Amino acid sequence: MDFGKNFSYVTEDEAWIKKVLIAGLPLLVPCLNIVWMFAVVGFLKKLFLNVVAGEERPIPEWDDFGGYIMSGLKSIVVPIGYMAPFFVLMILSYGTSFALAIMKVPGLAILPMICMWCISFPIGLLINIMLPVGLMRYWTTDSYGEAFKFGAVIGFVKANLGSYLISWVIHLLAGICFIFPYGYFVAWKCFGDLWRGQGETSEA
Amino acid sequence: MSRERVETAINRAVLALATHFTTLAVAGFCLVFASTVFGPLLADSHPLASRAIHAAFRFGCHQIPERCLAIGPGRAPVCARCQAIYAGLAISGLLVSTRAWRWRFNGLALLCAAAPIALDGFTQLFGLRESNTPLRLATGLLWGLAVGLYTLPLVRDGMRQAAGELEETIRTTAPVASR
Repeated sequence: MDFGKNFSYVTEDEAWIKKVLIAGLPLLVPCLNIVWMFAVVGFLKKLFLNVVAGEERPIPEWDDFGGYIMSGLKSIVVPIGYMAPFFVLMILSYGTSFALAIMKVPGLAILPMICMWCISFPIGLLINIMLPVGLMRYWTTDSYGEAFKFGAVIGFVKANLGSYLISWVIHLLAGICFIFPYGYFVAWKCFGDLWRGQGETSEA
Repeated sequence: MSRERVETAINRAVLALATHFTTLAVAGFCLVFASTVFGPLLADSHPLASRAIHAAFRFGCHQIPERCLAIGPGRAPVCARCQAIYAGLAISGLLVSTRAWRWRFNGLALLCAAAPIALDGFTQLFGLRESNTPLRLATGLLWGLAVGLYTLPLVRDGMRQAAGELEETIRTTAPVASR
């Protein structure tokens, strides 16, 4: 994969500054950012599908805000589904802590929450690594069932492990500095290239 | 700087990362484990550094003194189980990177290695019994070794493949002067 090209393709778009700013600036506004997050997810879906389709200028126009928000809202089911085991672990550990607090052992009450970290951290990491593939499968097929075919998801990650991990690190860094959608544009171009290279199609 | 040169520079940076990814990961594991040993050792001579190391591990471990190993003048900044996991990761990293370990760990072996730590941890968590230091060390070390020996060869091979593809990309796309 040509990572250099994937970093520079954003600036090849004539209106790239406008597109990056529209994606990023509303994320800085409290309350609006929650709704805007869905719009950005919908926008990234369009970008990803454009990359998969092999379009030369894959960054879409910001011309369908309602459509992007709806598309983002539908997509959010996939991360929620992936995070379900993590939520169960959290409920378990917080529940145990709460029970210990009620049983008047406050010194130990915090213990389950911290001990559970040993389990929740690797599980959270694994979920985070697999999640983009789940989204890719959902976006290309519009079927939630496809997003949760974990065998296929793991198979895709394993088959492209090196390039996928590098793309995932770019995605993670973009997520940490989430006001910079540029990183997301780069990461989803990488994911799109990987998907195309793998020969995955809408019928996958 | 021309666009092609910037792209080649990025590709070279990613290639360096892919080539040395396993080494960096192993160095990270060793650094984390060394911190858990040197933190308490520095308690008298460099108390500020020792406290900083202790604080850094606060969010990942309960740090109950009775469950932390006494090392030199201080206590380890993590419990015996966590310290053994870090030790296992560091040892497995060294085994994989020096090619002293050549066998493949599969998912089933990983699950088998998870069973003792899960059993020991959960039975203690739910108040059924109390674990002890040797058991925490043994189960933690086994789990750390298993995770490292399972994931590191996979990641190493994946990165090697990515590095090969990147070398090919650089060879075909780099401007002639920068090849």
